[in-house]
Amino acid sequence: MASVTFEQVTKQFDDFTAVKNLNLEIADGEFLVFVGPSGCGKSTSLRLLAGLEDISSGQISIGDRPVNHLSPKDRDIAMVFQSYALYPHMSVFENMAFSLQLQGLSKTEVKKRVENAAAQLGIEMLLHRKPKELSGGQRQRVAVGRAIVRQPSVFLMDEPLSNLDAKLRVQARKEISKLHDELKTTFIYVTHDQVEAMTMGDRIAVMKDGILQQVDTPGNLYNNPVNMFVASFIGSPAMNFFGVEPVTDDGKTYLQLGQARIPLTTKLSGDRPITLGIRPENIYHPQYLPPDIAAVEIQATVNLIEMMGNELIVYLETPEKAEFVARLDPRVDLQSGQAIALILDANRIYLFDREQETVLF
Amino acid sequence: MEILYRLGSVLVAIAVGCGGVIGLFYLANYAINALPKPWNSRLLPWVYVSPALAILSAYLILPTIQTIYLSFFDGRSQNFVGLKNYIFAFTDPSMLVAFKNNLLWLVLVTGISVGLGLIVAVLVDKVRYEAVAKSLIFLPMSISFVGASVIWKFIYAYKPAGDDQIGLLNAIVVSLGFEPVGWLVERSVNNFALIAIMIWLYTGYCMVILSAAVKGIPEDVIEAAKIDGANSWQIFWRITVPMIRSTLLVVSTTVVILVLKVFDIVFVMTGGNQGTEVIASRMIKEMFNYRNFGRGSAIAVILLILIIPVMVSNIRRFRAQEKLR
Repeated sequence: MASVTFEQVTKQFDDFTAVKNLNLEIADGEFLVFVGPSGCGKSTSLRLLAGLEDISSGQISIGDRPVNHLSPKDRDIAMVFQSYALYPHMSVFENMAFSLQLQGLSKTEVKKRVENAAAQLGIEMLLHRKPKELSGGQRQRVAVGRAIVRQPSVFLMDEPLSNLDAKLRVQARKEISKLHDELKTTFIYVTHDQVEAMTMGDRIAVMKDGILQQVDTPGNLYNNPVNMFVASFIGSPAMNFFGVEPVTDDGKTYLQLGQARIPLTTKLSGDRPITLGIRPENIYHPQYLPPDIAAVEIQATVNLIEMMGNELIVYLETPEKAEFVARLDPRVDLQSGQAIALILDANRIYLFDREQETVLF
Repeated sequence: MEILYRLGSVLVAIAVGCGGVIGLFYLANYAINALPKPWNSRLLPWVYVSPALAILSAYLILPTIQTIYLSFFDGRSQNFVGLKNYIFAFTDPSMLVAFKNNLLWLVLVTGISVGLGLIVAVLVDKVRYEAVAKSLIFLPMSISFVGASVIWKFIYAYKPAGDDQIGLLNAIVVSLGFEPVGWLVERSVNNFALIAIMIWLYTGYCMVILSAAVKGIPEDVIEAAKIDGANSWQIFWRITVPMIRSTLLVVSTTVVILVLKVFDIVFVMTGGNQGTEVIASRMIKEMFNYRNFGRGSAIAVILLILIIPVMVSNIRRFRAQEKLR
């Protein structure tokens, strides 16, 4: 069990900076998820922590021990790889026992620990098989099993579910969360899938272009994104963005969005260009309005409708040709090409500096 | 005029040869197609492989049978002598030397060229100028046995003490203040000197094949082993070697077959004198120097029998490997 600290960590590959000045503290026993698009530096950060890559500058500590110059085996970590990286010439038992044998544990101790871990994961009956005789889901469990027998102080997982089909992935997600509850060890998990991140992480670190954008709980990331990237990355379908102009009329400030006027409660400093963000779930059909919203009407034309059963995902555009997505009540009856009026909840809008892409308040 | 005439006959020969083969195929094809339904599709493949089969049997199977037959006759192939030639092959002192030497060749060439090839393959994997290093080590592979022997004859060249040493090895030995060594005549070293040539020739081959296998090991398996706590030595023995095991066996058996057939190096360097005889050079001597067809054939059959199990295992392993792909 240990906390993990990244201090000013940078990783430079020739002329490409994979991770820039990463500062992050991960508490003991926390489940932290690195999430971001491919090439954002999330896997590199994990590999730096594992010791599979050398850091260019900065310091990484596990517990209160700096590990920059320790080899992977001395860092007291275990890792689950995306490809599982099982040893193909060894049986499941030997795969799981390998690290314990290298530690020099006695045969009986190795056997006991492997069997315990196998029982915990429900793979006791697979112990004598070779990896190529296993299904994808079973291999994934063996990879996790190989990590947990070592009882490391930090678990690293690099997209461990991305080779599973959708149904297995949901199940494996739950199992890993359960495992974390049982082991109460620090888990650091890398994924590009925001659903995995939201459902599993105590906290989520969102990265883009090697830079850490925001670290927060799933709820806070969703409700209080610090910039347009986080706002659009978390939530599906993604947040809609509109360019808006502040106008002052009768002493009150509004944001002009096409024909619609959205009243502003806070004063804007300066007059920089503004982008308004609103999530698809905060746009409603006038027939199905929840209580307690600040309704603003907006005109739009329907381009495409996706009936999901529990909801309608509707792709629309404003008369000014700004495209957006709304998530509507499934009882709404719409045809593509139809012109409709929809309701925005002005309480749930986000305002961003259009150039900096940072949130204004 | 003469040259034109020759050219003309060459062209005619080519035309008749190619045309004849093509015509033969057409004819056979036509004949097969004329047959009733189930038979034509069954026989058609055989029509196309039959020329190859015929040539193979003419050049491989018939001589083999002939050799086996001859091995039971005396030197002039006139009188049946039973197993006499085989008894000679297994009891004659010169043959025993050849067997002993061949065993030495087998163990040393296979062990060292495969071992060195593996070490270089693993080390070179991490080198910046990998291609250059590999090309240099692979280069001897493109030299024939005879060519290599000529090169090494200069390396091993011996002049009496006091003369200028033109051989590389003796030049070094003398400059260090020792007496020059007759590398190819001194019985304690000459076999090793010959074996070194074949190792030099085949280490590159082993390295290239093994290097491809080493590169086939996924990087993350090695990384997993590092995280599991294995050091480079443990990764080599417990991950790399077992994962390329089948390639190692194929390379080893290939070298074993080559070593069993070795003859040129011995023939060029020492002519089999001073106790450097191997089975194949002994066979050539009996057959062509002493014109004893019976003994020569018997040795050839023994060589064939020695090679067959290695061949079979090689083919089996190759098939098993193909299946895994």
